[in-house]
Amino acid sequence: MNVLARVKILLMVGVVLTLSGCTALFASFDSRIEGMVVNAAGGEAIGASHVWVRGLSTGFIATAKTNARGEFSIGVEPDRYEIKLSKSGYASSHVYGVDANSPTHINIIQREAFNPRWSTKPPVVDISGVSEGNSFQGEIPFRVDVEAENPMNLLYVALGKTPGSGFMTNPRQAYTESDTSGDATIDPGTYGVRGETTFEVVAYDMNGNRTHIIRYINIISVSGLILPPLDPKAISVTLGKQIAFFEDPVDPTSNAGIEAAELDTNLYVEVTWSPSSGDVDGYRLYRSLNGVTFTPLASVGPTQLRYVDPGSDIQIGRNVYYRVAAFRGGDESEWSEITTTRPLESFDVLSVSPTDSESGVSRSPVFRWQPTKRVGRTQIYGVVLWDTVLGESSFWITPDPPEFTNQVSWRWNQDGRYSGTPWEVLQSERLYEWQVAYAAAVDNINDPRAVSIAVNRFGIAHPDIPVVPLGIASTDNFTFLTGNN
Amino acid sequence: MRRFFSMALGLMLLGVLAGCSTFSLDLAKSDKQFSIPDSATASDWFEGEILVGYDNEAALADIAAAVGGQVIDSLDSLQAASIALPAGVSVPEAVMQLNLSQPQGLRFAEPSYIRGYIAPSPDGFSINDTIVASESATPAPAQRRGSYNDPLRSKQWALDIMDADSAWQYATGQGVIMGIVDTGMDGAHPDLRGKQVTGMDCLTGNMIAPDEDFSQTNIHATHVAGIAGAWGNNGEGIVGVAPEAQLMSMVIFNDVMVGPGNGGGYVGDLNVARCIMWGSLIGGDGIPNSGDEADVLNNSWGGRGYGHVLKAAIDEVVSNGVVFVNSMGNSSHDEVLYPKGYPGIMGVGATNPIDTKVGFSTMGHNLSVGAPGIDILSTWPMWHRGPDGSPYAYQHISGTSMAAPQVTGAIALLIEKFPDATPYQLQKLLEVTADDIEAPGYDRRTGWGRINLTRALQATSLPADGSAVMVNVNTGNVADTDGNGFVDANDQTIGVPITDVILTQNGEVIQFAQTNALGQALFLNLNPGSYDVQVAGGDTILHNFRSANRLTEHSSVSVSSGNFADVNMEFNTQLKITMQWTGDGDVDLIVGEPSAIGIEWVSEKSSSSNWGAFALTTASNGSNQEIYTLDEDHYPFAIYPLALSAENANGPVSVTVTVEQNGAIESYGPYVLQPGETLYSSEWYDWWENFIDPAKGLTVPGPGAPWVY
Repeated sequence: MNVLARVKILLMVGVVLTLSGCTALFASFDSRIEGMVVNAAGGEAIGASHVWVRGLSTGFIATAKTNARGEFSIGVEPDRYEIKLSKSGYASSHVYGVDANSPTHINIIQREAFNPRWSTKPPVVDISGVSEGNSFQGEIPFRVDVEAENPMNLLYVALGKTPGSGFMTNPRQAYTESDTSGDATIDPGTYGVRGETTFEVVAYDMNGNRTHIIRYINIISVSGLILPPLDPKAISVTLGKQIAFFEDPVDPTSNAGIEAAELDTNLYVEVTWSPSSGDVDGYRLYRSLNGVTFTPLASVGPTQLRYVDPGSDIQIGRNVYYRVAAFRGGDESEWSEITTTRPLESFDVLSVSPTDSESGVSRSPVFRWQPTKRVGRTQIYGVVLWDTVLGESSFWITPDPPEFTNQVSWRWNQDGRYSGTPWEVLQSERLYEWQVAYAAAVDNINDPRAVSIAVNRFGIAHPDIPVVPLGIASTDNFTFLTGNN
Repeated sequence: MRRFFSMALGLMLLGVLAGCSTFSLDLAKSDKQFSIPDSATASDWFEGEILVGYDNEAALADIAAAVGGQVIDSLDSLQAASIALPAGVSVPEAVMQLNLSQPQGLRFAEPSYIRGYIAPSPDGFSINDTIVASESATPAPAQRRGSYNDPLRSKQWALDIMDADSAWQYATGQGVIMGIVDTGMDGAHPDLRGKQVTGMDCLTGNMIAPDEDFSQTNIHATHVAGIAGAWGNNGEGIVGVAPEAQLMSMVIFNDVMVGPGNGGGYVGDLNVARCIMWGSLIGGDGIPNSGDEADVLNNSWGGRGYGHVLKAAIDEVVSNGVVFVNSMGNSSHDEVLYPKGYPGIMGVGATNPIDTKVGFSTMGHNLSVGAPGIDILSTWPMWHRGPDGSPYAYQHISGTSMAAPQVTGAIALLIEKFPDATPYQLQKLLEVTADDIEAPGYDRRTGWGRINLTRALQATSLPADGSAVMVNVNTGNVADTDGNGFVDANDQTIGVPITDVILTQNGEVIQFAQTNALGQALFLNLNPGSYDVQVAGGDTILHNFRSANRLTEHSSVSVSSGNFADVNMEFNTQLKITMQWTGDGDVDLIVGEPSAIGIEWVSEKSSSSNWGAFALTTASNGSNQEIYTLDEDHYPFAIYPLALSAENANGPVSVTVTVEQNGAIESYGPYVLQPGETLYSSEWYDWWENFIDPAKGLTVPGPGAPWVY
């Protein structure tokens, strides 16, 4: 079977369904490139971005503009394509090697220019050691060198998928402090790829200009019969705002910190499963937006039982479905059961009282907060009070910080948790600060499948809610001055 | 006399201190659901150590002995010392004991807070290796004016937006020394070499020679220093804001100190205080005012917890004309961190290339101005090398840590042009010439705006000077301060320590400070004007006091440019103790009044009260009632222990006590006493009855008795 023809399916995500109504319009073309442009994996759609495509062998050129949802659709002659995105105020984004020999779909990241006055020329990526159509057995030696007008930012390499930030798309190889990978190797076993797959490189310069190279290669492996994985479970996690973790004491010289800080992400789905019995080379995930037509999503190695899907075409309030299969060599198991999640809306929590800079506040103040939106069936909040002089967080002098379920106010010590301590009432005429330090909504607290997290500043863990690995700052942090009563 | 009194109190306090671990108690139970990472709940202070202020060396020995500790370090110029605590004594316990017992000569006692450098955000913007510095490059003498040949200058967006190139026509920082109070820096870096004066390792007090690489494993100070003052026109790397200013390294984060709860390796407030006073007032030659002292201090660090040692040191250096620049922090919130929470310092937030606040930049009332703080290119320790083995030499990182040195460099330029300007005038000049961004006028997100170097340097005159206010909080009555056994005309009132002093305008908090143990709170670099003054003390949490022991007083002050104003406030406790009982026979309320010979127990029957009056009445509910009211003239700064005596009861009696103090009312009892029994207030468990240390299985009595100012 033709390598390219087989692998292009990997890039088809829901094309047939979402576009069936439009095909007549572009009937004169034999193929089509569909896509969605976003500012980050799982990020916001970029509308009004100019899309330019060129066939690598035919020279066929076409252009389009993304709509408000960041989508574009271009009828093309069958070929491999390069795609270039441009928009005023934005960095450029260049994808090279998209297979449109049959209709295909691709998500492309285009970032806001860090400094609009800087060059928006995409980095020039040179790959040696891995050429189109190569076959490999075992580790693949390669080298990537980048030339860019701006200093280089990040360089990612992965097999079988588009690499990005660590949290969302591990595993991948990242080179954060250099414009070269040096002489390196990449192990297909880590990625769970076999047969026809892709070798992909993504490079960002410091202005956010992005180049994405796709090369089709073949991984040779053994074959045999295997069983499907069990108990797949998908949980969608919606974040209220960008992940920020500037307070974390990260070692700025370590790669880990630099990688983790890289992207902002607003919605993702975490898929977990139990392993298949018997030896497998890895697992392959399939995703569907209608529960019927599944398309390949990613491959992972045999020890990985979790996949985070940052898919930018996942939508709030719309179910997304997953199945998992195990594979060994050229064989793939039956699909697992279907698991589905319907992502919750994002929301924020605003502090209400005491208000910021309020004075004469009661020494047993009533703390009130308000979600901007009622999301899910259950909302859980945690509130923190700081003494600005002593630096102690009073809620955290106890190992049992109060937790509020579907509750948006609390009179200080109303449950008597501080009775008989110096914290029974607040000190008179003292400056305090307070904030909502945790706010999460879930569809079903007994079996959460969709979680929306507005605030988790300190990495608080709740037993029923997936841990968000990074801090999400609270919007408000109010200072108030108590009175004498 | 005061000391004698303290010893008497010591017995009573023993119970409090023996088993009490005030801040780690297992309080009311609830369904435990949250779990909070250890890092978020770790103490804000070093365990096993406290800081004290003292009047003289003899007093210091007594103070240490009072908590069974040992003096491990002292700083005579601030009369401050560090005391190691004996095993089993917690920091809050020791601080509480000292503040309650007030051993003679104690000025203050406080935790030794842990602070951190403002961890930069590693934004992943790396430098291209085609522009890595040559290790062998030697710095060329910088061209004083004109355009610079530094190859990375074009990558420094911060200099563009601050309009630096034109500003260098007016000044380049010549003759100005910028103190980098931070981690160690790589003084051997080609863009920093040859422009340093002797610095100090603040942990050991050892000198750091110019051009020495003292960066240990940390990149922070190297990056900060380059922003403020990397060489210009040396054909190498970047240009600092003040390219001809010199650098002084004061290393307050040391790898040696990195440990649990102290990831940054903070060396402690006492060492920092010593170091910044040395660097600002003495310098490497050991001779004060000899020209090798820092003129401006860059502080890209901070933390929670008000520290009096640090406050005193900052007051000292600012009073001597040194500008204290402090980054606001990277929390994204409007919050109080120190040092920026102290009056007199210049808080700096971070802005971005489109002139808005960077998301992470901390807000607050001490924010002066904003400066570029995201994706800032600066010098990087040469030991950090890329995959090909060559040093990076320059890197981009983000944080208010990167914004503060832009301002420090700007201050250095201004000092060259206006060598006689006060810190207030320098700060004001940057504020009034800043490009106002975001909300018009001052706002707590970006202060007065993003600094504009050319506009600042084009100024031909200085703004009017600022003003200062000293708030003195004293007891209303005199105590036996000369210790001769009598309260008489030779005695004085006592300064009230650890009180909150807040200056407000139209109800808005402008500045905050606490009194030291002399009862003084100093506010430097205030805008001239009128302020309302709110005073409240003491700290009922830190001292484990009853809530009614916190007194509040209000006043106001007006102060004009270049002037200093004193505000005198008085603390005077009002106290009424009402005892009611039912049962057979008489019950007596006994009050332990402080006197020349220590605690003197008085009752209605003894008729010998020095400080109060007893009255016998019948309560409205028919109970017998006895009331003790403290006179307006009373012995201040003391505990008045109480007792209930059933000496004259004929059968079991049921007794309740109500304490009305400074407007707060607390009730105790009922206690059932058998004839002949006496119940002391140290055993009145009610208010503290849940105050149980689970680890030790002890029920710990609180002070119970009123503390009187």
